[in-house]
Amino acid sequence: MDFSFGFDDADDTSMSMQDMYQEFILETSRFPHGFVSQLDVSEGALVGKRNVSHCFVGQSHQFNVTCGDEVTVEVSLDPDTHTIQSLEWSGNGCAISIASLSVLHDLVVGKTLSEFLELYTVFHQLMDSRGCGLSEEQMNKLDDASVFQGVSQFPMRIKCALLGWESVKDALNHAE
Amino acid sequence: MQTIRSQFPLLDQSIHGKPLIYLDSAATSQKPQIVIDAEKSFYETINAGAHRSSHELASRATVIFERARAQVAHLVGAHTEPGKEEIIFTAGATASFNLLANSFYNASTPWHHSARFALHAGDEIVVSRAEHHSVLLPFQELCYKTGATLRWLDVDRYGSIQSETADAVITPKTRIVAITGLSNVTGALTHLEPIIQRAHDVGALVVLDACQLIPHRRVNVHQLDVDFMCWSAHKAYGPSGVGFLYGKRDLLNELPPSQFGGSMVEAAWLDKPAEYAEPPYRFEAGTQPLAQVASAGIAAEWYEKYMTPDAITHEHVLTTQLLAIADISGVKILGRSDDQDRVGTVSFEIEGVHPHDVSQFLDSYGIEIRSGHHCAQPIHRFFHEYASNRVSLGIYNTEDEVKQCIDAIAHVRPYFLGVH
Ligand SMILES: Cc1ncc(COP(=O)(O)O)c(C=O)c1O
Repeated sequence: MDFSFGFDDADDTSMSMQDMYQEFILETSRFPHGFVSQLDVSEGALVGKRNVSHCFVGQSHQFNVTCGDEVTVEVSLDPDTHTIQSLEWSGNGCAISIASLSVLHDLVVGKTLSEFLELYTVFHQLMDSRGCGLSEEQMNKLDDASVFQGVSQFPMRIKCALLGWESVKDALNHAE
Repeated sequence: MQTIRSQFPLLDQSIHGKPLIYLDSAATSQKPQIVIDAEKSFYETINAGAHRSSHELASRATVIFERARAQVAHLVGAHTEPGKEEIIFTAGATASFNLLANSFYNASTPWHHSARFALHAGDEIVVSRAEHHSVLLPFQELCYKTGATLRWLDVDRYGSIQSETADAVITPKTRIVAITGLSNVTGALTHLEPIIQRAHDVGALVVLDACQLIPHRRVNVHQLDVDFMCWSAHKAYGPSGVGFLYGKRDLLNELPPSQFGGSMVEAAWLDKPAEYAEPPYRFEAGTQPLAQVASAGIAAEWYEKYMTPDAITHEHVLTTQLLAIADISGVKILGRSDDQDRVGTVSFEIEGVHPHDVSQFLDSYGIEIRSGHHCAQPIHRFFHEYASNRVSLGIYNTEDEVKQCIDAIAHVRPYFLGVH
């Protein structure tokens, strides 16, 4: 028996669940920001149109078939300044996906579309970092979203952290 | 017990630095050393074109291949004499269901028409709300393709199939009843007798999904009097890549083929239709997974030896112990929380904690359980859940493992919700 597929549990000690479920993430998942129990359907009908404050509204519904995470995100975008005026979401998911949506809410409201897209790219880089994180400058840019560094050690969970990001990007597309 | 457990090399390892506790046998079971060795030994000594080439090696491969058929037939009490074989090898239970549904469909076309199996508008196929997608979807597709209508047996508040409604749901319009013997979500054993009885009274064929039943109970196909039965080797301590279709011989004789190709044909021409081989070969098109079939035969023999009344009692003790999770605050079992008519496959929800987080938490203790919808969405919808957690016992699990699992489950809500 010389052949081996190359997994050795002795090498595995670095991968810790505590790295992923940071206290901040657990707490945020209990009382997430931007959460509404149900998004107004009539507001949904505004998608692609202007709301009362003349912002364009965009919605996105994302569903993760393997675990059943389901989220609807609604954003409004100021057509003149291209800033994100509001972000609300409903749905359910695991602690990682919920905390990620909450952090997104706090991070991106008030940012311009291009600032969001830059953060989106940096967050993807963080998820690809296999637990190593990014440069200090980039981690600072991500602000609270940098706490998801530990998730990048768990390939099965990266899509949980990304669910909100994909939804917001898609919703913004619809608002443009 | 120890003599069983020590035969499973995989169990002797650590995960995240903790001794592995494998509680996901309903997804796939682990394999005893002899099953692993059989597959390896086949490649090292026997591998050749069974039923094709005529040299000595191929003839040995053929002997082993057919011996495996006999070993599997013996496990379930099927016929195995040459010319009477009732076991067909497939790529897995899912492939078995698709084979059957395709053959029924082919029987409904003018080309392969067979009145025994042909379906028309007005005919009905009955499944249950508790079916795995691999039963539901092939038969639902068959309905769409033939104009037949899909009906289903409903479940009681525990999610167990209501066999007592068989007389109402199964009617003279019913042509096929496809039903599980044991739910992979609730762990409930189906009361099969009234369903099979009623189906046969109205002239319908019974297709039994025995994927989860076989790993927990001895099944005799002739005693049960099912017409067809499908299961996978990998859930019953056998290799992956192999499944079985049992069919009553007189039905197999009439059933048209499902897949076409090499080794399923007596004579093929360019300018006229082929003459197809007798069963089981008519249903085994193409080169078979030889090494896996050989090892599946050994697995069947192994299982017959170790699946004793003692093993069933042992699982029952562990099941009763496991059901104590129902007493943990916030835990709700999907199914019966007593030990009546059930096995040690226990799905549950933990209020406020997503199944993905639950399984991740247990994984950090080296405890491997399943989270998700277990390929059975209709029954999850019945419970108003999208997904659940599932602990499932195998022949090798111990009281200590179950205890550690229960202890870990008790820590889930405090960890994620900060409540006690
Ligand atoms: C009840 C039941 N039926 C059918 C199947 C399908 O078996 P397989 O995936 O091995 O084809 C499974 C398992 O996946 C099952 O649990």
